[in-house]
Amino acid sequence: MSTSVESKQGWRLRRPSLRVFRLQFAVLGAIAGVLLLASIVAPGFLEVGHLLNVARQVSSLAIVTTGQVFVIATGGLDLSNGMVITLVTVVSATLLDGRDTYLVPVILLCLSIGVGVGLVNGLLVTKLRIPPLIGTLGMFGILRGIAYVYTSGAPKGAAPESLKMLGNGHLGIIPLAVICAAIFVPLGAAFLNKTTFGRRLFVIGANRRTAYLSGIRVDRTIILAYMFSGFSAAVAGLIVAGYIGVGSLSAGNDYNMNSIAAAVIGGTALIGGTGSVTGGAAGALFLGLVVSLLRFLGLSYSAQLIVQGVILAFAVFAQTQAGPERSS
Amino acid sequence: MIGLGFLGKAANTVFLLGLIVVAAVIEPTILNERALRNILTSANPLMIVAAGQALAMLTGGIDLSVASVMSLANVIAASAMQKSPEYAALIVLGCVLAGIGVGALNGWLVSYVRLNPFIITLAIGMAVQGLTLEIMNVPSGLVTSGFRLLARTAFGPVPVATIVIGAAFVVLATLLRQTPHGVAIFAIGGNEASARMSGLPTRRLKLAVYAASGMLSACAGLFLASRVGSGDPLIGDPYSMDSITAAVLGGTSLIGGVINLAGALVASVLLALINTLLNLKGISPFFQWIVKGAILIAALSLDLLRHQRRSS
Amino acid sequence: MADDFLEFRDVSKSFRGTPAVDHVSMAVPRGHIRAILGENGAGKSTLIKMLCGVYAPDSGEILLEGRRVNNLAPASALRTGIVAIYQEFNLVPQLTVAQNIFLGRFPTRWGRIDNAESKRRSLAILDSLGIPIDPDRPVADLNVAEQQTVEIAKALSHDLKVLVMDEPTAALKDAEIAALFTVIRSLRARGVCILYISHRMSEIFALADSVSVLKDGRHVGTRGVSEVDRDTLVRMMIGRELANYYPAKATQVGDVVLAAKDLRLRNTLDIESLQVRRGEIVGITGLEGQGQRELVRALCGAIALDTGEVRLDGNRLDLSSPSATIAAGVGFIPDDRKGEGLALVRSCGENIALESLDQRRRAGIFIDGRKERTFIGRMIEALHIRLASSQQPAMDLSGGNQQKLVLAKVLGIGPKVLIMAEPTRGIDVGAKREIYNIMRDLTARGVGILMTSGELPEIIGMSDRVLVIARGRVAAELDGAAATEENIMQAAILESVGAPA
Repeated sequence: MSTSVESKQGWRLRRPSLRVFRLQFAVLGAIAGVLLLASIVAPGFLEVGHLLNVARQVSSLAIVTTGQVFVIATGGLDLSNGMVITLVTVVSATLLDGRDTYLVPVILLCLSIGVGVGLVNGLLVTKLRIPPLIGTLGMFGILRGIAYVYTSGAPKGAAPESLKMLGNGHLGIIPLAVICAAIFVPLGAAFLNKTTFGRRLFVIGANRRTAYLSGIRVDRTIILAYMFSGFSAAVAGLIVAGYIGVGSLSAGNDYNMNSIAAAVIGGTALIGGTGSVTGGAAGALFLGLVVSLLRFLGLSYSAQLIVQGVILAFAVFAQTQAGPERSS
Repeated sequence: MIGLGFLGKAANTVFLLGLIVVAAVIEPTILNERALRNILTSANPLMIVAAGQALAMLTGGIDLSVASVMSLANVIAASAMQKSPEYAALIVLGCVLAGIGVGALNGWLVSYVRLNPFIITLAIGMAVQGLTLEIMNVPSGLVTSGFRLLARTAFGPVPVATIVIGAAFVVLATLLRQTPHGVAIFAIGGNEASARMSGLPTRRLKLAVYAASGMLSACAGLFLASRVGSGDPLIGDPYSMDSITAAVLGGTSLIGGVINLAGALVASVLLALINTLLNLKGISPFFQWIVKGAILIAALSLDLLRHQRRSS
Repeated sequence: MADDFLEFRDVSKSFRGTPAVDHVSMAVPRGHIRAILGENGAGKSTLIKMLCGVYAPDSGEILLEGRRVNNLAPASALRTGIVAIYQEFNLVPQLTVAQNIFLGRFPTRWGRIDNAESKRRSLAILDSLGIPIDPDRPVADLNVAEQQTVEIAKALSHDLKVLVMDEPTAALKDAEIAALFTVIRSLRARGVCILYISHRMSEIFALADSVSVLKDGRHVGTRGVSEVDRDTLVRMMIGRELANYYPAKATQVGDVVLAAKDLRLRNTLDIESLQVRRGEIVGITGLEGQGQRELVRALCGAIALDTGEVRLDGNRLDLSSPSATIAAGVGFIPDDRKGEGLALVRSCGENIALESLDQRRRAGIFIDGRKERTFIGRMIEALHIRLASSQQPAMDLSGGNQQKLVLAKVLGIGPKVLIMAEPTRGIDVGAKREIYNIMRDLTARGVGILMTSGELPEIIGMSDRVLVIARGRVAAELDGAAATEENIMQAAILESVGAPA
């Protein structure tokens, strides 16, 4: 145990902590497993065009999950991001009404909505010290009400061409949405893993007291994490708006739980202190592949749900085999 | 304090009761017999699941499968009773057992396999919802007229079911605070390692708690079947989050070790009351969501400000 | 050996090939207080865990009253009368005292808990210990000393034969320690065999009947307390002479680097003036709870004062938050390294880099990986931190090495002043000495250190100036020859709350 061994070895800082590392491998393995299964039971599934389609649908989830990972890493949770997506779709559809004229201002508005919601969430959690589960749940309800009141229950308008391009269009054979995610996710990962901000997020989740005494501005950092989550939801919302073409009051419905599920599958522990953006994106891809395969196989919606639930349960179980996690 | 019997944190409950009084003052029409009966009837299912959710939270966990278990029991009852009305009682028993079964599965996964309750009850809930939709795709089914009486009988403004639920609450609270196993459940939520070191069968108890929550969800689903008269596979949808809301509003802590059954009961009534009030005032259901979300946040921040809990 | 009450016979236990306990044989009579002494990693906790049923020995036997007890499950060990009290209490905060004492073994009547009976029995036990606590109070409302009493009462509620206490006085005030000793002695009078694990020599000499020393998993020897002195024990523990236990004091002290005036916090602090000079170590001591903790936290910005002005190098120090004081150059080592000094699940390297992240940035927000690795390596070497890899989670390290992690973290900011609260609490002798040397290295470089400690020998050995705090005030300032245990205690007691006349 002498120090000279350490200094000769050089620094293995590049290697991530063992558990997260194993879990990321596990998710990739799971994805490979699904693809393998598909090759056996559903030959058409593996066709490139189809896979890219799946990737397109998964892109928005991957982007939202990125933000969710940030929040979960601090030991919190964001249950309002699905509603941000919904709100963004109805706001953009209503204001743009199929025309590109005010595209940039409206996009900025939508992004501000996401950031604003995140700011409120962050304030609720830090200044009012409301547990994140409840606080973001309350926001979810409030946002839902706002969305319904804003549209009086019947969303009007439509998404303009440019957003539709974003949601449905391609660059060559690669969907634009995938490119968007392919830029957003690595940036998010770099943001979390390689910046001082990200490092501080993890410490806050690991031990808030230590973070405070070590000079971290805890409240501010947490608020920024929620703001980023809201921002990711807004970005995803724009893609979804383009994809469905209209405003929809149910657009964001599944994103809350799915983003949490994807994050957890990808190795982010719900108690905080650890997390992986790329794992989250992989988790999103896994979930998307599973859903898509089931649909491809012609399973009814109800059967899909059953299989999804079972697979999610297994995924979580598999995580416990990947390595010890600290007990909560 | 635990020893004080089922009133628990009296202050919180009193606060909620105060809100009810305020509401009554704002809109005295709710004080008439029919309105009260409606309010209590609509609060009944929430009261039932809020109790189950509070139990799960007491152990430091959570149950996100509440909605789907409710729906499951609901559709099984409606479709089975339609086909074989003579077996109504047996069917009811079957639904309750189904609820216990799902709950026990949750409990096993959380307690023995040691999976995170949030995700695993979510996953099981998803699967159960799929199962429910397989059984019944769109609202249909018919319950027996005898069964329908369950939800509809009342003594003046107070539905029989509410009385039963109230009595059940008292029994549950007594069991929790006065029996060795009950206190053991508190210990699990407070410090599970210590509880185990003291030789308590923590794993078995945790499983039992989730089984109880499942059973209660099934009962709530049955109640709704009785009230509506038919089945609806999505009927339980709002109840997962609402049960969490009612439990937390009533003073049960998300971290575990603290439960307030009376508070959960009162909070459920309060939420039902607010719904009715807003409906009466002609406020659109959309605004109701905003109001409910705001109330949740406001009630929690008041609670925190009162306790002057300083940040670490 | 017929009357040996508790006996370890050739007990061994290895983890992954490394022996933690190596053929230990030891016997303790009934009604006896045996202190167990040894450096961290010497095998104390493994030995105890085998006794309590957490581990099973690989070989050898543990006998209690002649009966084998080495393969019991923890719950069975409890029933046999073997109870351990650790620093992390085994209590459920939300339950009452009585409920905690009888958890899992409630007296019942017709299925219901007989509250009256459990209250009566709890009172009986607590009275026999001479400590009045209301059995109906929730444990969360009790202070640390009271909670410990409840733990002891809980132990007594079993048919107690062997009581193991692990660093029981770490968080207690002096008066409470005295009360605890009384209780322990009364247990001894009842025939209980007490194993007392502690690093505090003065306590061992005050309380124990005999001392067993463990080193590297082996039993070095057992001596009656009257047969040994501190130096002998230390020699047994670390196997070498420990001359010059404390490094030399400062010979050259610079000018004032930290000057505090009018530090007032209602009912807690009332300090007119306090100064730390470059190159000196100021030791703050006194009876527990006289304001030392608050003083230290106020100076680092974690607690708000009613009034107070602090100047660092002549400039007004912003005390609004730790981030402000850290930015100015004040480093703080908290007394609870696990709970407040480290993020245990994160890697050692991350912990070390934590406070000085902003110094190694690229493009504003990104961490410069190479600079960070170099920095971490440098700190690990400089402080002789023993770890397998900087990637290890901090929780893997021993207490002494964890404290060095905290030190490394704080030193990263290049502090002008270092505020250290209980710097060597719960750390073994060898590691203590390393930390003392590090402290003197720092002062040689011009850092001013303010430290609080409840260990008088440490205060006397390390401080260039001693400030005795009583009732939030500076009761005495002692240096040089005047800093003796006697003078310190006199000043501390004279002015303190509830001091005996």
